[in-house]
Amino acid sequence: MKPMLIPTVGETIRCIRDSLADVIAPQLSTQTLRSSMGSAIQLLHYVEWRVEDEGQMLYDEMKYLRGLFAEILAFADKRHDMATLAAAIRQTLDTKRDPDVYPSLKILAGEVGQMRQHVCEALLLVQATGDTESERLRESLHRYTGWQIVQEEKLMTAAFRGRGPRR
Amino acid sequence: MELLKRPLSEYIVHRFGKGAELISETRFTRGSSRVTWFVDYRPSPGAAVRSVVFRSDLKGGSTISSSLEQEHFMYERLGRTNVPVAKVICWDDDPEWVARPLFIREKLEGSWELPDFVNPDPKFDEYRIQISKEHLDKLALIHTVDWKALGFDERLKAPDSREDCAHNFINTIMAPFWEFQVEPVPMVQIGIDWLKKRAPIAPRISLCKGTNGLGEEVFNNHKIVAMSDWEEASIGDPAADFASLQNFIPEINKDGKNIWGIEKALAYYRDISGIPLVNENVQYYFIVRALNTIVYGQKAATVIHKGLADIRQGWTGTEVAFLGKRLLASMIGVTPAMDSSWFAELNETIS
Repeated sequence: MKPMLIPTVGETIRCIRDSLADVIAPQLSTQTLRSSMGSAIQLLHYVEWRVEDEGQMLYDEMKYLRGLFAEILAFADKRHDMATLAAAIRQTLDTKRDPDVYPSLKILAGEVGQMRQHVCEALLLVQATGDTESERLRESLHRYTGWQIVQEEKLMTAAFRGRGPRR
Repeated sequence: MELLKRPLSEYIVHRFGKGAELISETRFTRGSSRVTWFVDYRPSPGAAVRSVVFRSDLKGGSTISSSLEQEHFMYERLGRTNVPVAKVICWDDDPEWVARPLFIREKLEGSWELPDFVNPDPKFDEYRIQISKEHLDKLALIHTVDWKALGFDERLKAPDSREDCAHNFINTIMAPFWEFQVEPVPMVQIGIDWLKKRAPIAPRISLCKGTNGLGEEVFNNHKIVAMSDWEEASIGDPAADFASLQNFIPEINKDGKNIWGIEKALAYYRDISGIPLVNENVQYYFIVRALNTIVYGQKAATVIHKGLADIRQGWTGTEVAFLGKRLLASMIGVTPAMDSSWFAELNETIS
């Protein structure tokens, strides 16, 4: 399959970044200017990686969170103090995306943000109790949080590491 | 200068009198929390050149949560102690002249750069220990300031007791976070719970500086002449300052024996300050520090979100914000340990 709309967004960003690094940066006369340019070039690397990888990352996280929510709901349905959270999670899971609207990164990030908010609320509730069952759920919430950070680390490593000073 | 509404040369005359002349202006590139400009001027024809520092918030707001007014207050109040600090010259929020509030302080002769200190050659070992002790002497001075008598608690929230220090510190750094937060961060929730359940008792309730060490203090002839960057000052456990101490407690071994490091530095500090601080408290505050890194990383992200960010905030709100989460997760066992060489990369400076 041949891609369309060549150059891609990522390729265009790379072109801009290369010009800044190879043509403009060497001409800058003060450390202040070179430092700002260095930060800008680093951030263009970051944007390039996000353009390529963020959509799939968000989809992967939604999939993980749907599984975690099943676990939270199984726990919450046995407890009165979690009824509000359980209702909110069900509402989130039942919400259907408009099939005529392109699921942009902004829309996906909004959905994941809503789901993470439920995680924060679940954490607060299990942190306030200490029985075995809530401890098991706490472990699951921690496991998700660790998993999410490691996923994000892959993108951050690709974007920032080994590329020299940032400032 | 972007902090002013009129040319700096005119402002120099306005501020320092007719005949005052601008010599040079340079923006300090490393700082990312606020804007710092170094300005040289001649007060009158033929007079010696004077150097001053302009401090202000970044255009879209500061990366750290404390206010510029608080930082100004710290310098003004510290001027009444024997802690070496640059003298404050003025506060200026006159809309006729300034684009946003700023304050001016003296710039003392000296440098934050100590090239021999970071040189690993063993011939510099004694020198490095000497610098380390000089810094500890000054930290002890700060930690034994009578903060209540001098009214530091008019601005900094003091804990109720030694037992309350950690909770007070965490509540203080988190209070603005809950106000500006734009996205939920489960790691923050986990970190606060973990830390509050393990809060140590402080050995003393002290005035604390916040970020300190290499890059923050001004040296002249191997002595500290000014302690700078008080934006993260607090009242609480002095261990917090050891956890924010940059580079100045190097681990030095000679002939297979440790001749300097955290335990020896703490023993030295206990002797000169009389404060029975132990390493367990310092290790605890390293974890609090990671939580605080998330806070200021998220603050920078908020400024980017609003649309007036400095490019440095672009970096703080992305890589640094992530590293705060990653470090905290690593420290309390939510993820595997992280690669510590990442932090060495962060400290590299463009020449």
